[in-house]
Amino acid sequence: MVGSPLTEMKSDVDAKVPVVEAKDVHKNFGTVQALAGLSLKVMPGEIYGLLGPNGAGKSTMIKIITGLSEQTSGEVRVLGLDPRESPVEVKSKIGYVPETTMLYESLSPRDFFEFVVSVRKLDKKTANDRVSKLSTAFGLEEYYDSPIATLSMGTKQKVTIIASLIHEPPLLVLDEPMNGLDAKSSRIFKDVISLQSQQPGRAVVFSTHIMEVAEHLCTRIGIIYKGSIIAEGSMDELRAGVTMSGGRQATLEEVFLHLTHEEEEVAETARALREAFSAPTV
Amino acid sequence: MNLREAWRLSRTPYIELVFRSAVMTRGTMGGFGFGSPARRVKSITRGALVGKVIITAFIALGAVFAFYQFAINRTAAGLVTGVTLSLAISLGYTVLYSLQVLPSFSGAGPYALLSTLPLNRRDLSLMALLSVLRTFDSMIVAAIVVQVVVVAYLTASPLATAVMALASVANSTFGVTVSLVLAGLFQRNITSGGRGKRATLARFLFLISWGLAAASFGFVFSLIQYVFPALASAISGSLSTTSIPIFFSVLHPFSAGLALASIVFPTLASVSPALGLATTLSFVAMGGYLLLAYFAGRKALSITERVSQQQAATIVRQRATEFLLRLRRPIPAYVIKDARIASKNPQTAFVFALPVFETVIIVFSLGQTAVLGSTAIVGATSLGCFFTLISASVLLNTEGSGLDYTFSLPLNARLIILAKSVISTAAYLPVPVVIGVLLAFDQSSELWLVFVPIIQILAVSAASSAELAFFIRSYRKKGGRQTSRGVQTRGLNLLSAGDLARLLGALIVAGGLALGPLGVFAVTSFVTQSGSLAVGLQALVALAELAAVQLYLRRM
Repeated sequence: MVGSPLTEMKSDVDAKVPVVEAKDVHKNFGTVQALAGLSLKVMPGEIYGLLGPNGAGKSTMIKIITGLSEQTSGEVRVLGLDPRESPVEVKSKIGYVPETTMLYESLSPRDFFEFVVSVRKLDKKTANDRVSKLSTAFGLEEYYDSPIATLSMGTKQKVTIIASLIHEPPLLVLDEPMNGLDAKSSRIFKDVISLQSQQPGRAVVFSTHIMEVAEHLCTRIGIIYKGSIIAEGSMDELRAGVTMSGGRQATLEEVFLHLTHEEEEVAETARALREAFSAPTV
Repeated sequence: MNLREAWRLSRTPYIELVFRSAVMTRGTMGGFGFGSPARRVKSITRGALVGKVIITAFIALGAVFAFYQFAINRTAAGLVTGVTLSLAISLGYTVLYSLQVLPSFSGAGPYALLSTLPLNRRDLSLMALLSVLRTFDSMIVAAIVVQVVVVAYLTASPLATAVMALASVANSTFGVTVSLVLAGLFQRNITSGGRGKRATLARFLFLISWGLAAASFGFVFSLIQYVFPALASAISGSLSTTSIPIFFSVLHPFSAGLALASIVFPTLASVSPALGLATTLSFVAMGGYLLLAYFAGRKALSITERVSQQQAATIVRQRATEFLLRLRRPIPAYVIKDARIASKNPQTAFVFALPVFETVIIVFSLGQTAVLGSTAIVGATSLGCFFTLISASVLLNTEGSGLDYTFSLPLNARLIILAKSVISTAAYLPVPVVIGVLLAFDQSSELWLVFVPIIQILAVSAASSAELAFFIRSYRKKGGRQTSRGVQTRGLNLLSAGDLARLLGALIVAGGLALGPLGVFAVTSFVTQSGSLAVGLQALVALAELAAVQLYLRRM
């Protein structure tokens, strides 16, 4: 586990005010509707998982929360601020891990961290302390002075994760953060997410495809389908809506497939695949 | 796999090559419109196609117009000029275009998926080579066809036409090979890490070499312009003792021009002994260049083969023993970040060549002036300002793929604009230094004139900030209000008509601001004959501009 400076943090966020609040958010890309009246609320202390099939609107919603994109209509508040009106303030309070790790390829992680902490105006001692601890925890020693272009996808992901944690933000927004991470780093990162949510006034919003991660880590899950939240609640609350044969408890995967009406489709695909594999080759 | 099938299949890695290069230089999110990913890919490939058509048209038209002089007066000098210029144009534009399209080639990414398919080494290499040739296909075909047809039409000599065809093919081979070698050099420069003194020195030396090479490339056309009057005089016999033809007869593409002219004008060799030797040497040199083209072609093949086999450069890593960061204020941090990236990007590294370029241009222009009066100083300063302003918008390309991450940081447009204008203003600094040195050495000049380029530092700073602000604003959403991104821009695509229009608009604004104080100085100086008053008013206008631009940036 990281000897994290997270524990030293003090909260500047009211525990009763939602960290993220979205009301009836719509987002259109030309004629394509990516979000269709999505509403969600993330309270301090929560780890909120956004789950949904490809193209459901997870990344679009995350980009709106982080101020990287604007909604067509609806209202979004992050730590009480409107990302459209106060983009710089919102971004200074968010740690963001994008879905694709697009960094300055010719910089080394050290150059990149220097740039990020300077822009975030952190003090030297705190920044060095945090970067040192996080880099050691994620095993970045060997890559610290190598150009990012030469790093593997997982190592690049570690760089963005460290950059998102350096300033100890009240809100961590993570878009598929486990992409490419090895088992050790994945475990460390899960610990970091848990620690983050335990700090007063802090929260985590993340999207993932990995059901196991969402099931064990999230305090609340929102299932997003065709641009809106179709179910929301704790794991137990979501399970309660799905009855399995023999009284067995549904897994998150089963809940997810049931709610997104993809059970039939999956069964059909599996049947087709079985037929394809069993067909004699010419 | 036959050639036809390989050509058809090479379209996929070609599109990947174009896409990855565009992403490397302009990022993915905002760089290509704000629609769906499919639309972005379409936008990139369409942009590459439009760029290719534009460059092909430049090469074809340039190749035709190069022979304009020969078409009118049918002289040997005109033919040498035509062949040389036409080959230089096609070579220069091919390499320039490749800097936009090939950055991703040496990383081998476009061929990663291909190498997992059951294709043998030969097929893989062939497809990689064809995907690269697709980048240049229309340019190569246009150059060869136009040059051969024009020479055949104007000279009616089968031998001259055949020589032109050989020179043209060799020239295109050089273009492709130089482009691939350059892409590899930059890839190596990007992937070489380390903070040791040796690594830093190696990168710095590379940068200086690149700067000088880029500056020299800019001189190719000027060189032709300056060399040809002398060459024409030598050819016409009025300069019988000059050694200029001998020197240039061994340089490509002059050698091809001279060899071809001596075929069409058999008496050329007997004009003077120097010219006789030059024509003989030109044939020897052409033979040498054809051999060199053969080896260049093989080099291109080996590069594509190596890349397609995923044999990227070996990466040597050094384990970090400490994690200390050097913290700066946001603007200096941004400047350092931009400088580090710009030095490794083929599209932006020329900014580092600007000081060299400016120095040479100013020394050249002022060196020919008898008296370094206010007119000469204003002219030289204007030239310096012009080159600097070109660099400002190009610096937007330093963001590259990191643009997406930059958007997520708490930055506003003002900070980014100021950081980039610091770099372009720094690129202007050699101008007052060089002018000052020249004034100090010229006994007849008035030393106070050095204040003219010094005061222009303020105007250049205001102008480059305004240029960037104008360019960035043109990407803001309609309605003109602050967007959630804080900054909404992308890199500058020099092959996009839309971007060039934006750049032109930005340059007009910036040019007005840069030349304003100079104009005030010139008019005041002319009307009042008072140097101190003219310089004073120039300083006032420059300061007012700087203040106005800063105010504007705060409200952006």
